[in-house]
Amino acid sequence: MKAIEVNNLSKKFKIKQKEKGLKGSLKSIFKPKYKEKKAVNNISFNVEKGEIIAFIGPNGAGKSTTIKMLTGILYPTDGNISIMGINPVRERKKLSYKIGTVFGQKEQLWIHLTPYDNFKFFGAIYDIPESIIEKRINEYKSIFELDEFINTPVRSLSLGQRMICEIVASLIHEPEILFLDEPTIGLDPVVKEKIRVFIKRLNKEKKTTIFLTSHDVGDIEKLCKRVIIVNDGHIVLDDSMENLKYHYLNKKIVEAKMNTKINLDEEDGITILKDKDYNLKLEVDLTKKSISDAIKLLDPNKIIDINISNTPLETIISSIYQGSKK
Amino acid sequence: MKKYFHVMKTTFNDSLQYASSLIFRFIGFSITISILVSLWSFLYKDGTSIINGYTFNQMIWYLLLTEIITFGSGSKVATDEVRDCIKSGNIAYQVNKPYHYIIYIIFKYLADTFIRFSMFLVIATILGFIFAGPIENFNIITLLSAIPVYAFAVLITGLVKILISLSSFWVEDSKPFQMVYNKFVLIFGVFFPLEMFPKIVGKIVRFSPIYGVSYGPAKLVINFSFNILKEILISQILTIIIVLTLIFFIYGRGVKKLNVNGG
Repeated sequence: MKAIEVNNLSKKFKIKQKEKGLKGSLKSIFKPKYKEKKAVNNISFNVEKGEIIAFIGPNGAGKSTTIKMLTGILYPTDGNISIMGINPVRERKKLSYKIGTVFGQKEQLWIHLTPYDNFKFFGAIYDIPESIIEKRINEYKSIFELDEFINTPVRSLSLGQRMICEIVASLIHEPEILFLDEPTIGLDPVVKEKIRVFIKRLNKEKKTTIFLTSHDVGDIEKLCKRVIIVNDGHIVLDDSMENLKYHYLNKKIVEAKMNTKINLDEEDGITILKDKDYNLKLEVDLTKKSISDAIKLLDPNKIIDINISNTPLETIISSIYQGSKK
Repeated sequence: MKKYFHVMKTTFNDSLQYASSLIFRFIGFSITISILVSLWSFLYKDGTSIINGYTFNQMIWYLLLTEIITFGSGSKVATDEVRDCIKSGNIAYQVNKPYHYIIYIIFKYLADTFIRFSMFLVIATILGFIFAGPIENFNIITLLSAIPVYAFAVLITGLVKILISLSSFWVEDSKPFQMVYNKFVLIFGVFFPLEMFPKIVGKIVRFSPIYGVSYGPAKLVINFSFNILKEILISQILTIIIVLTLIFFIYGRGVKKLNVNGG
């Protein structure tokens, strides 16, 4: 069954334009000018139930606008959306019981209250019986080790603790789909890892569909089996992580420490990325040259240490963003 | 409906966290009342026992009974919270929750106001006894009649403030409109009873929300009659219906034009 179905979705915004200076400000009061921006441009995709999908793109690509349309926050200009068979535009309230949302840069918690009071509040607005709320709070308390701060007002919590509480609050009604918009933004590696482990567990044990946007490649690499990349309102790639790596990892990075300075000339398929003192960094295009060609070029007798690695996923994604698919 | 009562319960809990900050408002309230009492004392000093139909006792209690509504319903939920929510785009994150934002904000306002109003009622009663003595001819019927009238007055105050705050969907800042409305209430309701203005002004004010949130409730308590009670309740109920209709209409239009750019 499809959890999310999106067909020919578009969203246009009218953005007010202002000329510079005081004259411009006065002019914009009496004769405002607007510029139309197509934030999302005719995109279509489906997400199966139980999938963890990364929906990524550079800033301003249209990913947050898309997530807001999927969660009923914004009305689309064109196109159709179906979330578990529900139309987010017409059935916002019905949809809210099926989905959970966490926006990394927006707080939904009551800051003067404790996480416990917040969880009780969110449970109540989703019409969950008191006994079940208590049961779920206890469950999440042990998963996230909330004991330490569950009775501390939210305003006194660290960013990581707050984010964990935001996630728990959005899960108190056990949604079938969880939308996470940059959930690990600004968090330290330990909290990030804790959140990733929990998301995986949630997906595995409760079959919750996860729709994730993030700029953190670690989130995408560790959690998602499929990735959709958007840029300038369009989908530029919709593929499995496996395929992404297979197609785009046809380049290797060779880093070598030499015992003497050598002069290298670039060859077709071997690019010199760094040549400083006795350290060299080469990029080898495996469709044209092999690793042994690169080692031969370096002269094996002069190599003290060597490291061969894949192109980092971050570099691959950046190159896709820039439209220069390598 | 149960969830909205939970919103109230949570707001009570939340408001209690900063209830101590109300102490500064009590000081402000007491100073304002003291200054106004001194002014009225001066006007009544020359032997005048009645001004525009009001004795000194009635005038002071009128002032206190209108100021209770002004200070007691000064919750920022209906003003700053709604305005900031719209301006920052945070309202977008409220529309996909399993409640109606407007009903949510009304219940939140009522809960926040209940605590404030109760506290100002106690302070105002003490000040009233100090400056003017007990209210003349006050009895149990007046007290029972005042309860729904004051509850409606608090509700109307919040609804009008929410309505003005909703203009933030279209204008950069709704604060100036809020200020203008507050000044109208102060001048044509709080500081002076309507009898002090030309008849035409009184007639206009009677058809505005100001009548139901200041003059009407105070007049009922200091000079009770079933006719005044009937007149005020009809006016208040009509105001609630009209303002609520406008709120839902404007909110519906505003949410449709909502733009939330960026992350």
